[in-house]
Amino acid sequence: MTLRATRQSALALAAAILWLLAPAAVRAAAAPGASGGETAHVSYSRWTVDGASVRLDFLLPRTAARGFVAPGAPLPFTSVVAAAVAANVAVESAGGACEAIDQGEGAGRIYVMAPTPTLYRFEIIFACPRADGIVLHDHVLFARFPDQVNYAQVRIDGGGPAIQLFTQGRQTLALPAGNRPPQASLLRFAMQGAEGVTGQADRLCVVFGLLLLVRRWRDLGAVAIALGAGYLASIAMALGGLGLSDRSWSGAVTGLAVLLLGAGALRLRPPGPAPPRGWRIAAIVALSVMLTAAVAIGAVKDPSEALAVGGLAVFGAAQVWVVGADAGLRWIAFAPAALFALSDGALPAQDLATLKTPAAQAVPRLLAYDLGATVVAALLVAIAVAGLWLAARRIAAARRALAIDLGAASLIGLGLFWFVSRIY
Amino acid sequence: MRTLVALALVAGLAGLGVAGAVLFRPFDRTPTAVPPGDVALVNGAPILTNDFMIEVEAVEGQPFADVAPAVRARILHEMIDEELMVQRALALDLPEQDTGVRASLVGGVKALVTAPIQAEPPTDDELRAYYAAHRGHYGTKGSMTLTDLVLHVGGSGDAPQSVSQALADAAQAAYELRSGAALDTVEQHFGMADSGKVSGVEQDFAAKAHLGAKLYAVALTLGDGQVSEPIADADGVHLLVMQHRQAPIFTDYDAVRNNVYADYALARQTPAERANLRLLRRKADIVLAPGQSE
Repeated sequence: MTLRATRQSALALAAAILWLLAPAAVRAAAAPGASGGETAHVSYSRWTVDGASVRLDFLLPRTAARGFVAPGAPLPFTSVVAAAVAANVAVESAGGACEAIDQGEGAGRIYVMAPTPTLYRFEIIFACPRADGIVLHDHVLFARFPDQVNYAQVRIDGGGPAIQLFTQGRQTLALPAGNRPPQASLLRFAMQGAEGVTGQADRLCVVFGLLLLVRRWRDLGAVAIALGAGYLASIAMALGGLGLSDRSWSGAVTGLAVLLLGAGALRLRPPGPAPPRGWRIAAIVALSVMLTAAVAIGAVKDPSEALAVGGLAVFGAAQVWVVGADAGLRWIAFAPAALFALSDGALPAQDLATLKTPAAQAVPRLLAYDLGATVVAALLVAIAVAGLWLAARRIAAARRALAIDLGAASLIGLGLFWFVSRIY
Repeated sequence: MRTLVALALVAGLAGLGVAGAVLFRPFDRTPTAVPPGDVALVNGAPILTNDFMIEVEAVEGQPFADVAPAVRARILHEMIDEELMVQRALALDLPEQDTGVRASLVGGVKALVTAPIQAEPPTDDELRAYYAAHRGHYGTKGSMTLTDLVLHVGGSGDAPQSVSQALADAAQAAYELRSGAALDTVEQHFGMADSGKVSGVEQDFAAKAHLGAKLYAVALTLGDGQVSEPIADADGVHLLVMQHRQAPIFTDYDAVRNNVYADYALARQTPAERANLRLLRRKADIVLAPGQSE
């Protein structure tokens, strides 16, 4: 089999995969409960220490309550969620375990506060035998969602608030004497940003898409600038009081970024044998069908969301066309990375805003998160580019073009699937 | 070409702007200002000015403008209390857990469904027709104290007899009873027995159930001390001896018009409620566990 025949077969296979993914994506979009989004799980807690008394306000997203029941089961009653939360938080002091007190008036040991549209809110007051040696315990849902982060705000005896993170690896927090609780280090937020890039398949696909676009070493700078600009924009929007209307949009935008990076890679493919005309038509038709379906479903669910999908579709189409139409605007191929960074950076910003974190505390931590994510993403691309540069010296140009075509086609299929399935 | 590129860039930026305007919203914040049209916000839930004015006028029985500010404040305080209680009930999932709350909710839905019917009061002719069709519901219930004697026929006894023989014997027994013979004497002489279907004072509906339609119809024709003609039934020939009959007394329509009105309204609501339930079931997704039925 000649190289050209192999290439044609591979492209046909990629097109077939694309078409097979299309109905799967539509089904996923139509299926109930498909709207959960693939963003990391979060919860929130406020711990207010006042002498030997510790008041805990625990905020749990309603979607996270599914973690207390078997997969596919209906949402549990609030009382079940309250009992599960109460069973998984605790406070200790130097004098022993602190008891959750009955708050009277029929409230019991856990007070169920009026819920918001997206959050359960519970309040527990612990009475400790002694006021020193306080240790906070939060084990809520870490067994079920290992990726969960509990953003915690701690105050001691009227002092200023401190931001802390409870994670699967750190479910206890010992408080020092005095009224200055420790702040979560900037490194922890940087690590969180870095883990966000490496810990999820869709984000790794963003990195892979950037890899396909990088042709020269200086393109690495464009990658860093695009990611940095997106993250900085997310901080600016947070400071302006703006956040994502729905966390699942972050996952959807990540899917779109994967799609657009794949499309951009195809558009900017290096010189080589031209892909078959039929394959191009198939890809364009598949994209059109999927985007139309996305807009149509969005119109049924919420017209404003259809508007958002339509706007993103216009942006995507314009962006992909422009990068191939004008060599001077080639750098716009990296714009999806900025879009990804904007939506990714909006998540921790929203989490800190939920706890009403002062800007002076939030901004450095968000910068650390963003820096961690940007550096790791750029580093991964750089390492991969270096490896490929070494390997490419032995690979024929035609094979390199084939690899890019296959990779880009796969990214388009995956990105499209993630985008549509996470919108709703 | 440059123009096309510029247009594409503008379109792309516009699309991004539109998407951004939808996707990014202000963070949830506790509102500090009450929007126009609301009189208060309780945990973000509004109390409408219109509802407040209606409540004030309903409680005080005078135009809103005439009610003193202190009274308005008290009523608003009570409305906020009520809103807090409702929110608390929802927070505790009371609609799912408290039978009283569930009953109230069910009642609320029924009231909504039947509101159009309630809005159309029935005419007097309709009420009279309903009364005539259900007259038995309005008045005292009848009762009877009687003995049901039976002379069995056929069978494998020592002296099996035919229906015609039994009818003749029963006719003779009836004659004896009407002539003043004692019940025990007649029973022994003719070999009759108490069927045991009735005993003591029986309400009419109970007597009908116990005797069966055929014997009950005859019993209704008897007065105190009367003896029926022989009645051939499946288990033999019966004689009914009525010790005491208290006939039902029907109350006049005018005296029970309110009751008739209520019953009539209920009778009209039931089909509407059933129709609503059929609709709800059609729209619902109900899955029964294996082995369960409804």
